[in-house]
Amino acid sequence: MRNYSRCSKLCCLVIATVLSWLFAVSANAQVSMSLKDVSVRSAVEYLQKEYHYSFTIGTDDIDINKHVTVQVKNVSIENALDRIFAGQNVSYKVNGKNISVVANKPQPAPAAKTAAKTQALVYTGIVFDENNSPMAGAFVVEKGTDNAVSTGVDGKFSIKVKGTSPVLSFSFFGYEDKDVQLSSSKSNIEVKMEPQALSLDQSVVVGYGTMTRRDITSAIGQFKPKASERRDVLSVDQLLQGRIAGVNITTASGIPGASSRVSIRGIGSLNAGNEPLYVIDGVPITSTSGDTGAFSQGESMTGLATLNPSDIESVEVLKDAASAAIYGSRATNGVIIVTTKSGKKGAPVISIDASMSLSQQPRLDKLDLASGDLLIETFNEAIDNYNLQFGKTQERFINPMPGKPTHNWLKDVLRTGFSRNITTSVSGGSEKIRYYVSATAKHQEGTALSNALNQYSLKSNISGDIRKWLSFGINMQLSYTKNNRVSSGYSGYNVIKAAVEQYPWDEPFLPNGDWATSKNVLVNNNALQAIKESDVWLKTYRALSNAYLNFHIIPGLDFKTSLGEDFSALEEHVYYTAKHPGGYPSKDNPQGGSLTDSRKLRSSVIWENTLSYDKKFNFGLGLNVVLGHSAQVDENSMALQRGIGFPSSSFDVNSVAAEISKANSSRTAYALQSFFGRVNLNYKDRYVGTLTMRADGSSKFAPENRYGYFPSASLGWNADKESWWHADGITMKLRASIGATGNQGNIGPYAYQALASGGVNYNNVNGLGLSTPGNRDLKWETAVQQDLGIDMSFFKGALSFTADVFNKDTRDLLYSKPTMITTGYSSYTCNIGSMNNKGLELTVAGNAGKKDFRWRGDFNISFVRNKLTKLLDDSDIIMPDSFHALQVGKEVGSFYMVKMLGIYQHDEDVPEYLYENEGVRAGDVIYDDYNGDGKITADDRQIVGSANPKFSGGFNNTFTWKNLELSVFMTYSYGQSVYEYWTGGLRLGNGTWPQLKSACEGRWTGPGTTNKTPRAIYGQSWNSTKFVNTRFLHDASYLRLRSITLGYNLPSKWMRAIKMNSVRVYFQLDNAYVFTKWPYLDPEVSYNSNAATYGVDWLNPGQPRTFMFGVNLKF
Amino acid sequence: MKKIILALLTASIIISSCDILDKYPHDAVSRDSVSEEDLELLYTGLYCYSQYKPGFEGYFQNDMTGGDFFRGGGSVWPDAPSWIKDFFLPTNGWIQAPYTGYYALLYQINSFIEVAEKAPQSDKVRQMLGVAYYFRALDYYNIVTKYRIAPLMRVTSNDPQPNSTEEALWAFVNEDLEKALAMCPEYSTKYYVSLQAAKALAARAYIAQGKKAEAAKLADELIADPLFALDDFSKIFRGEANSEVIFTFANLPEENGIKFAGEFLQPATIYVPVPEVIALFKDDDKRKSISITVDGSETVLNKYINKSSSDPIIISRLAEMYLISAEGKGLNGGGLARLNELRRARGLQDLSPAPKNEEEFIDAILAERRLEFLGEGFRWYDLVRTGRYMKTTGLPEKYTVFPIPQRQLDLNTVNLQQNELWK
Repeated sequence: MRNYSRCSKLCCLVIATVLSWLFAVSANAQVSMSLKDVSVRSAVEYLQKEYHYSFTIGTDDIDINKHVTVQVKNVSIENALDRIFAGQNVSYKVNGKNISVVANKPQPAPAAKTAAKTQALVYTGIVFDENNSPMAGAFVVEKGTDNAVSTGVDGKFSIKVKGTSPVLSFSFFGYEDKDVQLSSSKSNIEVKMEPQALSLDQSVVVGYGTMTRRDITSAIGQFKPKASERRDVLSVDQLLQGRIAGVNITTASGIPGASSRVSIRGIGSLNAGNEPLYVIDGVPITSTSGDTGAFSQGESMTGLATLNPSDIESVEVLKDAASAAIYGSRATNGVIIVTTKSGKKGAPVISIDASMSLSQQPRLDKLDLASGDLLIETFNEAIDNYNLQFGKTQERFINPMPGKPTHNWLKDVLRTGFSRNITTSVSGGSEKIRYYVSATAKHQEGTALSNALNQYSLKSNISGDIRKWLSFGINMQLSYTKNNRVSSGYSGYNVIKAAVEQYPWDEPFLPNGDWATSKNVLVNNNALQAIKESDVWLKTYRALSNAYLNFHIIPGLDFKTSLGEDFSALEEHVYYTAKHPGGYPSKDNPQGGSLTDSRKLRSSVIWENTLSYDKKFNFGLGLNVVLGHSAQVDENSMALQRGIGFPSSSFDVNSVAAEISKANSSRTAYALQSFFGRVNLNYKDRYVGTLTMRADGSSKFAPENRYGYFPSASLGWNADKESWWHADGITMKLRASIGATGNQGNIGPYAYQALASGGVNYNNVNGLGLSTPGNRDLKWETAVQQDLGIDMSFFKGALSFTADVFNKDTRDLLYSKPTMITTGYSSYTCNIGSMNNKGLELTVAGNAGKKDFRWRGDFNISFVRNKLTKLLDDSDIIMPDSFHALQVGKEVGSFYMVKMLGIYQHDEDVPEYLYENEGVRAGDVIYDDYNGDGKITADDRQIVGSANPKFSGGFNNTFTWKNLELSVFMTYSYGQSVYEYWTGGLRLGNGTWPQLKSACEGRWTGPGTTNKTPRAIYGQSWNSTKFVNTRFLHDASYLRLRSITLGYNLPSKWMRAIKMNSVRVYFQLDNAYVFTKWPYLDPEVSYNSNAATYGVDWLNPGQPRTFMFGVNLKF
Repeated sequence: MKKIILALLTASIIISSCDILDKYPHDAVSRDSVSEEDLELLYTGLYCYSQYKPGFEGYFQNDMTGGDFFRGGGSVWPDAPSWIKDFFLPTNGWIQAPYTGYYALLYQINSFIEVAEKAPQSDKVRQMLGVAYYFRALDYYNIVTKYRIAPLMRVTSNDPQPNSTEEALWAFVNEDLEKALAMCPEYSTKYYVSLQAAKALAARAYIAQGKKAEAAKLADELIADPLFALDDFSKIFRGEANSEVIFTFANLPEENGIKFAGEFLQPATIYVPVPEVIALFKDDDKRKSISITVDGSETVLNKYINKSSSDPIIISRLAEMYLISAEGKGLNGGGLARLNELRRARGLQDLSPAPKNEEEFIDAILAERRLEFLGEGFRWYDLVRTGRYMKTTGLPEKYTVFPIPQRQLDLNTVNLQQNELWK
């Protein structure tokens, strides 16, 4: 079977090779257009933009404002021009890519012509795009006349103007029109064009094709990163943060390469498979962790970090079922389509982006430790309270080094990270081939010592026409990443936790220069020692590519076959010297030192074939049909060996290890096969509709439940296209859709199979054990979503507005359901229940300005409400961990714990039972006796909040004045809570941990002192760890000043002098400030990203504050 | 060109027709394909599961809840009882984990017995069944001594199970022990269950049920067995050949071995012996240097020292038989002599002054067991079964039984009830 598919692939390759020499037929370039009711000018501009034609339309008798509809597919340019100028008596001269159009009319009287000529003044100038690159093919019209020219490849134009007070109007497809008043004193004009805020003609990438926004009937968010919106981030998900309504992204850690949590329209599913599907240039990629699991103390690294954000042309987020259903499987959580940059016809453009930045950990004052005196005072108060209450004689503490200033451990392990990044790209193209090639070198330092990520990547996108009936394309990306890691996850060595949990008088080194350790003087692991005595890194080599052939069978009918792959090789190295606690010498490792060396290979191969048909009928109906098949096979293999005993720390390969203490290898595979189809209908541009159907089979399900079926339907109404619509400059579109999407993520590759596993060995003899119960009833998780949307624009697009409401019912949720252990298993994978997400999304964008000053703003907000609607077997409450509950009627991610009501101010306030049996006194926490039985137990747990925000979004403002540009970007999230799992520094005498200054200073010392922080009491866990309780649950709402960017484009005069197209310099302050009530580092924290267990902090390093300086060059 | 497209279409149809969706694991087989031929493999699996399923907590709980240890590091409690009060809770993972381990193991044992009982009863199959009954008896011994009431399952089942009474559970333990005694193979190595191991477990179970004579009889048989003799602690706990261990799990690290050493030794040192028990070790006690040692700033348990590997888990050794024999015979039935035999072997003098009555003799035996088995999982139940727990620790009666884990009660609301003392 495996050989079979290899054979087919080979077959495909051979065919492709044969094709390339078999049909040596030369062909004229062909064009396709699908423009409805546009001006002749727009149609011409479309040809300029998409096919790089250059036009000269120089007569008065051609009506370029006449509205036409041009629907052609793969016709000659003449044929297309016939349609554009239908009804006008014109003739064309096509010379390569230069076209001149003249009216066929009787020659005017020679006198008049001479007279006109004598009056004309010649103006010359140059047109730039928003990036200050010269704009080829822009249209220049003398306003009020039909006198027009277009700009050349260098952006320059020259026009003879006849009027007395002439105004030149500049236009280009997808850009705002711009009028310039001419004056006779200045004959050289510079014009900068701005992209249209929201154009209905803008093309949007959808699954297996592109559509114009006008034809879109579903909820799709788009983000095209502009120069001013770039941030120095490692992966595309971080770039998207706050940009698109309904897409909530939280960056749970400031460690370079750490993964973010991306949720589109609320919680998609219960398992960790909550991430959207990422499709990069048509290849669905693995975004999940790229670790081998050898390093248990770090946060897992995102699989997205290997894609360079600066290669991204646009990101489309398919939010509703109607748009995502074409991706059926895995689309329950939405689809993020990333399109990388491609070349355009013209002279090569070289672009260099370089930046460097400094970053620091902000808000460290929130973790200030109690000084030695304050700590001892608190401890002794705790002991006094204990002795008094229990009649004991526990000894008081003595400050071992009174008056010694607090040693700042955080300073020892944190630093100012210095990062640099350089990307160079070359793009261009000829008649038949277009290319984009880029190379990136990146060095990003974390704020923790020795934590850094180095990356080198190469990217090339090439596309072209082989024959008139055959085109091809290939996108390739190769990358190498080395991530030097430190402990930052849920671990005792977590760099911040270990640095904070030290007595104020202790230091990293003993007086004799040896490490201070928990074995000699310290109370906790030495964070500096853990970093310095280890060498932990993860290397990732990744090749992501996609090649296709597109056959234009007959006009309108295309067949495309595409082969994509995502290969990655990982090498993980976890080395502890004999001086690291993980490598201390011991009886079985007398020399000390340990090395875990592991490798992982991942391969994903996808082959897709689509047949598409496009046809316009004369009575106004447009039809577009896509049919396709896709097969994907994913394979993973892993090998790990651990050696112990190294002669010295300079030996760090296992061949010198005294002993191999562990060796392991594993291999898994799964496959997906899909059939899909889509029909788009368009009636006179007024009514548009889409139907899709996809059937997906997954090897994770039993044959009888293998296939899931995901249909969708959507309708759109362009009200402004109705004949009765007279509101000029206002457009309106209504959309409605319904559809189903599936999910099978994050269940085991063999989830349905009841298995007996090997490896259950004893005393070096092979054994077998019943490892999984399996579940043949397991089937696709399915979400049915309805969406209603409206798109409006006013003032010719200067103000636009999009609103969507949605309702999403997810049923057959896949979950590893906890089960009574008498069945033999503590959980089994099943379709556990259903949930609902309802939401509202708003996006408002506007731009305004006068003369040199312009403002552009985007604001988005989304409200999502999640509710669990059904659980299998009518289970009452399922606790996925110690902090959360799943309960019907409540949100997924609800916190479930004992609620703190305040502090007992007087002994008399304490209920008798608690006073007698629990030793509760004034100063202790009042817990809510939820079940009213007089005791505080696990039965008093209640739902007390949620890890999900009530609303969230982003707000971007860009101000431009002449060549100066200021961009201020904010993100916000309101209503979510986070639990501080790290309670060590807040225990106030229960245990002898170092304490936070804020806890000690805020402690209860007598009636009326505080109602928030309890008294210090030795040996009693009532106030701290006895119950998971709301004392440690905090509001984590925030408004973050995400980035402030100041950019300056050097004047083009200077540029010409140094023969460059453009130079932009910019400064950026990222993560400038965060307004929040969260009392510790970063409110966007969680040590895992599972929806059901989200929002728990373990002193994760926060996102750094970064100051960046950068320059973009183009020449 | 059309031919080519046709070829591609055909290729894609071919691909779709051959099912690429059949994928199978490389480290497991379908359960349906497991047959009698696989009995030996499943049998080896039983050893592996029996060894690791109870988890570290399962083996160590009795030491901790018996008050011999407290938590070290920064999370210090002033004394063992206050730690016990905070951790001995139905919701605490520390209490919950072993329960799930015992039942997950039971499922594997019962599954094995179901297949093996159907197979032709060759000598080999009979012996394997005997060992399976031994494992089930050991599992239920742990369950009944800790929880008193619990679901009794002779066969696997997915239905919600009710608790059975303490008597029924003991009867089931005895029934399995009898089968094990009849079917287990003779002793060959300490890493496998033998007839002798079954006797040792039976002696332990009988003394717990107050069947003193039966317990003493079995213990004496083992003491008389030429295969075994008391041996040095340094051999027993340092992985050397010795004549004392009757049955121990090999607990190899690559076979899900449980790492004990890391819990007791630096740098983590989570569990530290209480000062009282440290002070009890006399200097001439040969057990002392292996039982405790000074590591960094603390005196720690020294029985398990393989930090990056693991130590064997001893289930039965001859010293226990001496102490069961002594307890079974009683002060005046020859018990004191047995106790002194052990003391002399450990480098100590005869007990002096000699206990005046049975009660004092039991106290003496418990004191000896405390030193002999520190960190081996006996203390709590020793105190409970002899009715000394509340007096010794000052804790209320409910701590003489482990609560049924809250999570299991939540998952089986139909049939499962909390222990009366914990309601």
